[in-house]
Amino acid sequence: MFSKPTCARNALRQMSQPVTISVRGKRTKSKGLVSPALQRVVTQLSVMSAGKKQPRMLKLSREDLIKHQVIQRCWATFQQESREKQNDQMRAQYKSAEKAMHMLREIDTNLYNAANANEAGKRFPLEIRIPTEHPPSKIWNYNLKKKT
Amino acid sequence: MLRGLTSWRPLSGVSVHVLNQVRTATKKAAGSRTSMKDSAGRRLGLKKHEGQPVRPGEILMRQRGTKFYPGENVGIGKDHTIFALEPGFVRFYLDPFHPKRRFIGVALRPDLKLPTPHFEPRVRRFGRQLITDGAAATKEENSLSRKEYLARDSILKDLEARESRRQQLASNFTKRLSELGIILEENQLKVCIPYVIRLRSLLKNGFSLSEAQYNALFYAEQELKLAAKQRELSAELVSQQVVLLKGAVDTLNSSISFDNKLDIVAFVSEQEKQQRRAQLTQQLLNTTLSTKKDVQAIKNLLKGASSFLTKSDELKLARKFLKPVRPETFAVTNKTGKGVLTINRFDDVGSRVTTIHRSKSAFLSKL
Amino acid sequence: MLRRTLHTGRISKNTTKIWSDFGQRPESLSILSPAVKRCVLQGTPGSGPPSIKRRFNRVKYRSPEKIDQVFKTCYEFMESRAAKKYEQLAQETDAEQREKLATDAELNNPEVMYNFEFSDKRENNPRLIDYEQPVYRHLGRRHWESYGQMLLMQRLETLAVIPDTLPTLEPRAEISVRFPFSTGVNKWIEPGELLSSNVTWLPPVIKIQEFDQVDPNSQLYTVLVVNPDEPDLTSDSFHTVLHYGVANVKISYNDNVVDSRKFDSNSLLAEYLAPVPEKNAGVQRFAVWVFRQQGALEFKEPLQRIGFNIREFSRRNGLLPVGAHIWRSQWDSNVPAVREKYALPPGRVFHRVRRPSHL
Repeated sequence: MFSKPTCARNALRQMSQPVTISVRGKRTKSKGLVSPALQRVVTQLSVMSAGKKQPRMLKLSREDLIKHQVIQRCWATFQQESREKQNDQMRAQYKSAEKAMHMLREIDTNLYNAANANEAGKRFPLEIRIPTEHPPSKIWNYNLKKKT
Repeated sequence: MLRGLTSWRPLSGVSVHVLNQVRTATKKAAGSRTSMKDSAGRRLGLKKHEGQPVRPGEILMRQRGTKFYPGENVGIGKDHTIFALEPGFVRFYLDPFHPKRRFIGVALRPDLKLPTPHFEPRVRRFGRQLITDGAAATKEENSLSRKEYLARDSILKDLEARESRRQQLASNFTKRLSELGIILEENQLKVCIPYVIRLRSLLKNGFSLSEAQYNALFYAEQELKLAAKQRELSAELVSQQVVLLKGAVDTLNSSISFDNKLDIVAFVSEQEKQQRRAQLTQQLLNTTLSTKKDVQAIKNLLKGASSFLTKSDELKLARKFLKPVRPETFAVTNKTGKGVLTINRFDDVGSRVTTIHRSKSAFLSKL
Repeated sequence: MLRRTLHTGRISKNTTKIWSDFGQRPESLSILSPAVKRCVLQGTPGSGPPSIKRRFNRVKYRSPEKIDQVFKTCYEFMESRAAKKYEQLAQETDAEQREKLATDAELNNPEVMYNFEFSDKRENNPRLIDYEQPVYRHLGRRHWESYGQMLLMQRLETLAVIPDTLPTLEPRAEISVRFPFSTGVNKWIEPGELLSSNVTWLPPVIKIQEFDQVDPNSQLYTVLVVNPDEPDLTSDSFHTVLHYGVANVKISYNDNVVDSRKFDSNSLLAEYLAPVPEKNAGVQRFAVWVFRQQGALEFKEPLQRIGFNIREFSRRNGLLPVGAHIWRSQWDSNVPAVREKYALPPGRVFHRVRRPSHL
């Protein structure tokens, strides 16, 4: 806790400053910042229950309900198809990589071992190109000239 | 106990006295009031052993919580007391559907084992005795519950009213049939009138015509057969009566129809109905609506169409051709004066009130 | 990853309008009202959707924005997928697979969806819901399983119709019961309803709605109504009474209400005996069982009503239970009148209180 002199010093500092005392006076109608009309709306909204402030439930006509359902099903089908397509591609890529590794083991065991060496703790070098799902459409730029 | 009284004098001239009370480390003497007591045993446990015969209401087990669950023919009380619901023999058993529970049940016969096999019918006891005394039996049979007793009079009154309405209907239909020139023999009439009344009520209940005809005929046939069974008539006689009924019903079906107010009219075929409907629509399209006479003429046309229009069709046509207010493409004038009505109405396109003048011919009630 | 490329991506343009060519397609796969059909397939007209009946509400109604444009794209997409299914269907020979493919091809057709959603599924108009079409059978089964089947099984189990009459039921067909002849009221009975003797005094009408792939030309059905609660004083227990029995009934997918037009007196196993519970004998259950037959059945001697053993009967005749229903009856003041009509002796009267017998 504070020692006694500090307390006294604080109290002294407070005393030297002017003190504002809030006294409950006459209530002013406008809060100053918002217009009375807007204030009225705010008050009414605050009184209203939360359920009434929700947007009204969407009521679709019979035809629109069916259209909505078809659209939803279409989107679900489309997503499913694209997911399947992507999964197939990934599977094919993995198979291809696996096949290449088998081939490498048959050709050169040393190279195979080097390729499969444990790389725990090795960071990805910043200079290397970001791995992508596909090779670039232009494999090598033979006419690259260093920018000056 | 007060150890110190401190007074602190702040720097402003106002003095404040603060009283501090501190409890010193002393031990309060304490004793438990409940540890000296001990309740008597609650006499819990099994009251009946396996295979012991029991009567309904006898307690089989007293327990705290459900150490045992109630099985077949056994109930459980609010303090989980298990008691017999049927007379029989106590069984303690396990149920494969509830592997963690032990059950107490009552088998109705000494040779029965519990639980009853899952797919076998339950073994049940009827348990009621016949009242052999004739007078007592009649008394018991005639006894009514309070609810039934209070409702009885109004039900009987309603039934009577319905019967009288049916009789009224029957006499009307008889008259109507003779008016239409359908001559039936006395014995045919006896079966035909109930048939027509039934047909009418079925149509009123929303059956299609063919369904209603089949239903009413089936009903009449069943009544005939049951009456024959009651009076022990021969099968030959019954078949004769059925043939008679069918003949009469066939002639009726081909000679009468019901109009949309469910009155009997001369037979109108479906094709004819369509034809006359088209004819009526054409007639209505040709009419003009400018005087009171025209309104009456249209009303008369629709009134005469009840034999071939359904109620909803009639209403639709009336709504179409007898509009209380004609659309605004019709009878809007610029001038005001006698015989012109001024209407202020909200125009939601411009979002303002517009005034229009319409001559009286736009309003059905002012023609 | 999955991007919203539906509207920009290339969709294989199918030129064959598989859903709109009604040359070979049955009529029930199309919306009946031309105005509604136009509204669904070609967009909402300026006057509003035609399914809204009141003009005021129709004008007031606002469709969600761009729904017609999005729907058009989606319709084409789904139609192209349906075309693929139809291609597979043309090469498929296995009946079960064909049924599945035919269902899948039409399941997302908005016209089929509209017809099924907004018309009566039990009293179906074959021009709207035609249960001969695999897709409507599939939808009908799904609808039934969502409520009706669960309700039925709950009632059968809580009222112990299973196992008191038959051991169990694997429900395959929807059974509905009503009594149009006695009351003239056209109302389907909910399973387990307590009915007065005034309602049940004439035979019921039983509707058998099949959803499985069966051959309607050869498949025959048996309908039995049994009461397992008839008091048996000699054994102080109950025995089963056969109240109604009909065999060799032929039905089709759409015309499947079993009434006297569907069978003659030869296939009547037992004429209808109205429920006539005795005073203080308690509430009696009347279980309706519907079986698929293996072939036509022949019955030489009449069946014994009292002490009827439904288990043995179904086993001996090789009957497969496909559906059930139940109603309940108890004594009311109209029962003596029904007994008189059926020329039955006056009913017994029992004591109100159940008592233990000797022991």
